[in-house]
Amino acid sequence: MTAHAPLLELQHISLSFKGIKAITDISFAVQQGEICALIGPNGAGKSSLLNVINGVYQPDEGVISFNSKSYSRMKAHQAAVQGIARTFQNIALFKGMSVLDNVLTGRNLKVRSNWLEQMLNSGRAPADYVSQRIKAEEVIDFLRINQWRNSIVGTLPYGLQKRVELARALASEPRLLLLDEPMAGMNNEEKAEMSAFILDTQREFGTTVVLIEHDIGVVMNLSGHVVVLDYGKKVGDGTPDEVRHNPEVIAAYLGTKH
Amino acid sequence: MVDNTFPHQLLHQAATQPALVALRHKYLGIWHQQSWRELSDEVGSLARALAELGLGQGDTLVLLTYPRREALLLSMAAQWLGAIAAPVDPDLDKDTLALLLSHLQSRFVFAEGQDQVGQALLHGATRVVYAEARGMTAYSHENLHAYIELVQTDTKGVHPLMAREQDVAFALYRITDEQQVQVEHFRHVELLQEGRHLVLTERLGQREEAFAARVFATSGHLRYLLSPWLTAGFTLNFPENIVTRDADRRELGPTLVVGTRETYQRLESLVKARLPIAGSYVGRFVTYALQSDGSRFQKLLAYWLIKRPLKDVIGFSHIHLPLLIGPALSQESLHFFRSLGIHIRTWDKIANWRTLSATTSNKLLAETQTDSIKRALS
Repeated sequence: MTAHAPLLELQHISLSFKGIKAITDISFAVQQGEICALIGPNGAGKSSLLNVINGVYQPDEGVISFNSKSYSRMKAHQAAVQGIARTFQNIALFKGMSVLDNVLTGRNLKVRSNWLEQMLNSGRAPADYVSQRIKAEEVIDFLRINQWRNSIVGTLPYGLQKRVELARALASEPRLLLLDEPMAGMNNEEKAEMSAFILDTQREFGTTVVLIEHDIGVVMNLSGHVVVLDYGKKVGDGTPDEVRHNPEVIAAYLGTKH
Repeated sequence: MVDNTFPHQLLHQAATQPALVALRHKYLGIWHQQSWRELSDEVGSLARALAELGLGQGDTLVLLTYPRREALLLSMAAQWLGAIAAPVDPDLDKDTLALLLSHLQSRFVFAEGQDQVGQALLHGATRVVYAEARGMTAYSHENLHAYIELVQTDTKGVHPLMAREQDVAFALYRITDEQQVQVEHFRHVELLQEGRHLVLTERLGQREEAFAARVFATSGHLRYLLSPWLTAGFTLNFPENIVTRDADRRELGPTLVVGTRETYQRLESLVKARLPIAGSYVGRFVTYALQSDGSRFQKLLAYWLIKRPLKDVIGFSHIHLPLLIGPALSQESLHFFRSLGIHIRTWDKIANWRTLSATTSNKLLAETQTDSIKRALS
């Protein structure tokens, strides 16, 4: 039996800001269709690593393989074209636009008509709009935000805005979804709801998910694979159970070995 | 003379006005419509498919779903075969739902989605048709059939129409405070007679646009919404889902709304939320306008500036017949709606709930509770 090539593989990734090491020699692989959690104390380098994966930061050293192609440097636009989408720790939506319009922005890379056709609403533009709208509506329905379809995003509660941000990312039909603290600031009920949506995304679309989350209970229930970072280094990598019993991980979280 | 059954009436409308819009429903933010001909073809295909699944005369098809077009079409397909449609509210609490499903012991269930499919299988359903495919990959598909598969099944010919006017078309169930199961049966002939009475009395025609937010919720909906729809041949409109109903009603502007006291209370609060503060200048003007018995000019001004925009808030700008079924509204509420030019008409009939044998109910209750305890412990 041959093992499938991982969808995402990081090999010896290092990143520094003006000489300060943020990430040091990190390697791990994420299999197709799995939910992988990046955990670690504040300042461990989790968000920086996510930014490396989707091309916002260029690593000093190392190689990223995505979908069997290797990149030493990948630009953010290139990552999006390759099928990597993300959400942000602090919501980055167009607050003055409606939910539908925000979700439609996630379809930008799928638009086939040019600006002139769109301006004149001719050629490929009308059919293109309909197909983009249908896809956006499917995501809106999937995440159960139909009733807020025409609401201005800035007027919605925080938990719903997080869901809209997930919708925008899903609208691009990503192969790899990066979620930076998707449940930050949510109450338990909202967290359970968001966890269910993430699981559904993986099950229904086969989307691979890499997420950063501080709620360890949520992480252990949601993920099949956990990577633990501390001071920019990898200190654990395995199933939730393996990680839970890893002395280095316990030390990183509690500051002492048990 | 058309036979007095729902499927016969559907075929009659398909023959006499095939191209007129029978049903409109919102899906993925877009309104879709079906003509009477298309609707009767789909119901015919469903009847054939249900017959192949084994549904027949006297069987019960449980509709464990929120109101949606598929449930309505399947109920008529079941009635086509002489079977009974039994709508069950999926929002009932877990134990009540378990008690009802245990009582019904129906092999055939139409379930909205994964949660309802799970409930149906747990209570012995052997043929489950589902509407939403989400999460269904986790289930064995031997007993499960997607609605869309039933419609697309390549079936040749039409199944003979087995419905008879004395057949029970619908059965509604409820659980009393004493945990007894009660049932109310509705025969085709009675429902259609009452529907015709409403159509004639209220002068309903083909041009009506009825809004069906809770199409199976009460006996009143069966009598005064579904039955008139089939007898008068107007258009029935389904919202996208229950939470978007107010926005969808506003978009659509129906001429016929059938609602309970709770429906109208919710609409009243929606309008009142838009009213300005009572003591302010604008507030005083609005109060004056709503109570205005002044000149014709004043009335016209009040209508265009106040009443019409407020009616538009709840999608009542084109309302012709706002029907109230079930318990009465308070005089204050009725007066409030009257001040907006909305004259609510009450149509209702005394319910004829029949208690099923206490022994059966108690035994089922005990079994259900034991099951719940076992589930909780495991």
